[in-house]
Amino acid sequence: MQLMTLIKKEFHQEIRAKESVISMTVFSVAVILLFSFAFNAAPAEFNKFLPGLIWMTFLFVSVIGLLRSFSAEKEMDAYSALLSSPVDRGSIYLGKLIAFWIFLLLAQGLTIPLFVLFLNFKISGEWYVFILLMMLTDWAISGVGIMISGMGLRTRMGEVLVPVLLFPLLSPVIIAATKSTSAIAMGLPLSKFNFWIMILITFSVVFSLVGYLTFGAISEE
Amino acid sequence: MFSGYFIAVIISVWIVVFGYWMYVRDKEKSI
Amino acid sequence: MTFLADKKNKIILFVTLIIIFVNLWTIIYLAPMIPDQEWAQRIFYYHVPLAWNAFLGYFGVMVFSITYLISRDTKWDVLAQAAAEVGTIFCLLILITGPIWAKPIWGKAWTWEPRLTTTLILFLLFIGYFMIREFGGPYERSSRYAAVIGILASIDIPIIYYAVDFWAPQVQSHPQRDMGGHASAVMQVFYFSLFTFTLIFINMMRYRSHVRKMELLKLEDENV
Repeated sequence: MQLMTLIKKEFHQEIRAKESVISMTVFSVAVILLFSFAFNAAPAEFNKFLPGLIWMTFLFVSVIGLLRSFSAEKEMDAYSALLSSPVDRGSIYLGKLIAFWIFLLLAQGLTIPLFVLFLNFKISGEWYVFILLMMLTDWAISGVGIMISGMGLRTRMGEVLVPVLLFPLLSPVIIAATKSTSAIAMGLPLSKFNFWIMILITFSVVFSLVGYLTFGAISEE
Repeated sequence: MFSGYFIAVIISVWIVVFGYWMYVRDKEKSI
Repeated sequence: MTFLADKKNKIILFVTLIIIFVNLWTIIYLAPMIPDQEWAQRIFYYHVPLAWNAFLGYFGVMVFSITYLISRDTKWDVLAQAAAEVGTIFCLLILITGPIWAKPIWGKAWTWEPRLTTTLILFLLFIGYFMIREFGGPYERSSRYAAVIGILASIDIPIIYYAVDFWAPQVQSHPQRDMGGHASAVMQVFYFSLFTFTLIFINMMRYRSHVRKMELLKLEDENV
């Protein structure tokens, strides 16, 4: 199927895959170190801020990763080449969405242990719930992120425009992820925070749908 | 008699609305 | 031809201006005095209609943007841009009048409570919308990009609206939906005010889209 080929293509650009995951991970490590120094002995109240901090970090990390998600296409005008082949635009979008989603999860997988180690991130609930939460949130981030970076690709000030557009669009997502993470960290059952999960699901679905339908308009000309 | 806040709201709303109208008029003039 | 040279536009504007004054008069003389909140409460008659119309504008952005992407007919983009601008002006006014209202009623001008926060997010979203129009390159491209952003931004609104219910239900809930609890005198003044601001909205939309259309025509002439 076309989609699988597109996804594989993203990974075959090994350089980029490495570039993305490594730069995202390094950035998170830098943030964690900075916060360790700034907040010294990680006092008890700090745990209240930790979910917010974690997702803010991942938000910035996503911007860094997204700016790379079209880097291969920029070289040698590969993008026009891609577009002139008979590939469904929506599939290009989905391919990039899934690829970035995986990169982001990898980077998070590498840095969450560091959050546990250095900043005392504790989960009273089940870890698999948190992992599912990350997968869901990352899908929303990737969904809107690929659209925005697809636009930023062609624009002057593209690199500045991506965060400017991305942060407001993702604020409800980040808020929902933070609230859910707090709930999971406190060991609360799903019923206590299922509202936030619904928000995340809604955004994931809506972003993906809009992205799939409009990527043709975004990548025209 | 009126609360100052109430007056502040009325005034700020009309300043902004009027300001925008002038902005559009400015654009119209420069065509 | 300027907008106001057209007789129809002059009349609509004039009628609107009169209604604005009548509206202010009813707010001052006919609206009942609410104990506890006194005069500051009457800010409600300006603040809430502003909010409803901002949402109307943003809903328009969504509809016009989708139609534009499908039809590629410029007239829809003109409407989308006008709706975005007017909606954002109203959104700015919510952010101005909200804190002014909050200060005497709740004690603090700004709190990070759900409604104000999400209105701020909406405002920032549309700043992004105007940035992409400005920096998006040639019109054919920037208008398409803006349409996508417009759709994304306005889709946020219903989600945000329902989020407020659950986010912090102990904080002020939707006055818009608690409307049933108000006295009929309050409701009458409110609906008239809503009507007034909708007229203002319509006037601004008509003016802005007219000027925008002229701008685009001029651009076309220059490019040919």
